[in-house]
Amino acid sequence: MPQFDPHVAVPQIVWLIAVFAILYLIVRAALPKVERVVGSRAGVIGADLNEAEAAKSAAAAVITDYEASLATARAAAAKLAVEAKEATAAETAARLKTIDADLAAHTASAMARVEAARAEAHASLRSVAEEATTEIVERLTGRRPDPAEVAAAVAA
Amino acid sequence: MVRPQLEQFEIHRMVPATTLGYDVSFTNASLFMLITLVGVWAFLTLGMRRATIVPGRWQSAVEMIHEFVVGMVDENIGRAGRNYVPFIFALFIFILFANILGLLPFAFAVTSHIWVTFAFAAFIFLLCIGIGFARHGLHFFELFVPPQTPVVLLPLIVLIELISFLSRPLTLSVRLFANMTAGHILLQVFAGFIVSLGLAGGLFAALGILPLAMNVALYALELLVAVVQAYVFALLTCVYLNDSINLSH
Repeated sequence: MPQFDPHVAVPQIVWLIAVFAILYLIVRAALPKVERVVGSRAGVIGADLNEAEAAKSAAAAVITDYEASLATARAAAAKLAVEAKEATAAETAARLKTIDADLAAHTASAMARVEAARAEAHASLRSVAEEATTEIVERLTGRRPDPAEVAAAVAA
Repeated sequence: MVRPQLEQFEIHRMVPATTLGYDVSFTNASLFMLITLVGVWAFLTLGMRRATIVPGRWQSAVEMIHEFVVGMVDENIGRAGRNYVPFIFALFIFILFANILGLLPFAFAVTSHIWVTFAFAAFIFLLCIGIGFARHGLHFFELFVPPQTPVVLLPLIVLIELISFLSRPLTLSVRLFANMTAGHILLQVFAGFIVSLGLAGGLFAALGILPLAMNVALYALELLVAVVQAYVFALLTCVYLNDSINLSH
């Protein structure tokens, strides 16, 4: 094989050393630029990510604020509702009380009237009974009994 | 007289020259080394000419190879290996470009020559020894004594470790050389079949499609081999450097 010819060793190795030395220097010179670009890209991406993170946390803060104000508004509304309910209930209770009192007064007066009517009826019943007794006695005996006697008899 | 399959590996002295008694003739191998050099230079320079945050295609390719090499070095050597990134990068990209350029028609495959691959392997071997002694002094010999080796087995183990260490330049150089040479010979052999069948004429000429299809498939395989061998060479260099830098087993 031509590869194993010892006469081709030296020219190849000499040229290889020269070429590879230059290549190494080229690579050494080129790589820092590559690293710089990669680094700056990483920096830009990192900064963008940080910015996005900041915007996200700001949005989260706004949401928290909004939720807090919503909660306070809700609480205030609930309090107002409770107050209104209580006021209405108190008013209703007061009105009920006055109506109750009115009713009681009416009932009492009515009862009094009933009582009076009954007493009157009672009284008139006695006079009617006395009269009837007097009549009956007069018819039976032919004489008019003493009204006092009749009253005592009826009352008994 | 060389066989036609091996003709492609022949060195032609295009400009014979001698310096200090050494033969430094400009050969076809030298020419393709220079073409590889220019190719790499163009790739790196044009790729990074307008280095932008949002990379173009070439810039992406340069950055990808850089990231690949840095990843390989980080994985195999660690932080201490960062200084060797330019060397590994240069090694990888030189072998990669030389392998792929060698596959072009009428091209010469620089890496199909054992002297070239052996020069690389020997340099890496000496570099490993130099770095090992510079970093660890005589403790570098601990590389041949794995920890927790039973004393009885010690002579045997040390012998085995020593042989495996000393055979590194040979295996490293032969692997690349043999892969490239075998691939190029295979392509040449099947190409020869196509010509022979074509000259036979008639039905044989129609059969010539078979070695042609084979060559197309082989070419794809050789492209893969070109990339894989460049990767293996760079990877093994990282592994060997790691042994010298971190004295690990």
